[in-house]
Amino acid sequence: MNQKEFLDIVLPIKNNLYRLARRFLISSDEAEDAVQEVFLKLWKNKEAIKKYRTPEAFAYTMTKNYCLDRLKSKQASNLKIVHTNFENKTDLEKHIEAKDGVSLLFKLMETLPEQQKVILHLRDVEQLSFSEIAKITNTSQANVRVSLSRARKKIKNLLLTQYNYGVQ
Amino acid sequence: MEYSKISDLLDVYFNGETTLEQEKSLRIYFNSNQVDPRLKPYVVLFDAYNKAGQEVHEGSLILANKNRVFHPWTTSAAALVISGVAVAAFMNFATIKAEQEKEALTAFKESKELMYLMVNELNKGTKTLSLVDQFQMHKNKYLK
Repeated sequence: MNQKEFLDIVLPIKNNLYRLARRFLISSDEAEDAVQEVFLKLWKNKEAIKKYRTPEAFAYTMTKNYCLDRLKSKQASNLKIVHTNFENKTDLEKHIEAKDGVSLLFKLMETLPEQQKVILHLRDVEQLSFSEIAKITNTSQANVRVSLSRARKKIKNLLLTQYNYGVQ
Repeated sequence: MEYSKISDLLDVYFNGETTLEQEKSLRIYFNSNQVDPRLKPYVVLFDAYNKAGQEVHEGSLILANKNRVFHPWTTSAAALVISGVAVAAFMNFATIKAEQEKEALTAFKESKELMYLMVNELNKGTKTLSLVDQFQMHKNKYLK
């Protein structure tokens, strides 16, 4: 496999991997580093990629595991402090109210267990099918549905509590 | 879309049973400006997912440029080079040792000769010293 073939497989999912890494590591720099590391690892094992039916799922799983390792490692002890507020200036005026809500929602997402966080992200942000998510997380589709439902409900409850505080 | 329909769809959504199509319609509804006031809390939810989906990796990626080719003979070549270096080093070491032995031997011979010379000179000295004894003897005779 030459560089071009390799890049044809992995480059389209570069941003997807980055977003997943960002959900875990929060800091955008850390997430970019994570993607870089994952790409290097994939490149080193490029012959093995051919054997996988879905290299994308493999890359996702690798990113997830890499991020979890990062969080567990000692290096990450000061990682949690780094928090870049979520900003998207283009439609800032339109959703000034919602902007606080967006960063709030990501904070709420952080309280979820790892598996639920991954599933929620893959479904609601990346819009992957249940079968794809099941492959990435190495569980059954039924399990994915259950975890997803739990994650969504948890986020909903947290969100409604926060929202009601604001109103009262 | 009317409130009851969206509300029902939301329930299905929270049960994790919506299809991707249904979720898409929910996203479109909540990102529009006609959200029912009763559903306002959920705007944030879909807005956040929408924005999270727009994040992009801006840095460039570095891959090892050279496609390294690993030939099976590289190991044997490496082994040959290493053994060659080892043999050369050993031979070099052996010659160095022989030279050192030679040098040590000549140094030993030279120092031996020097010792003889020194002993000769010393013997001469002791001979002349006996004269001092004679002088002492004769002096004692006269100066009691």
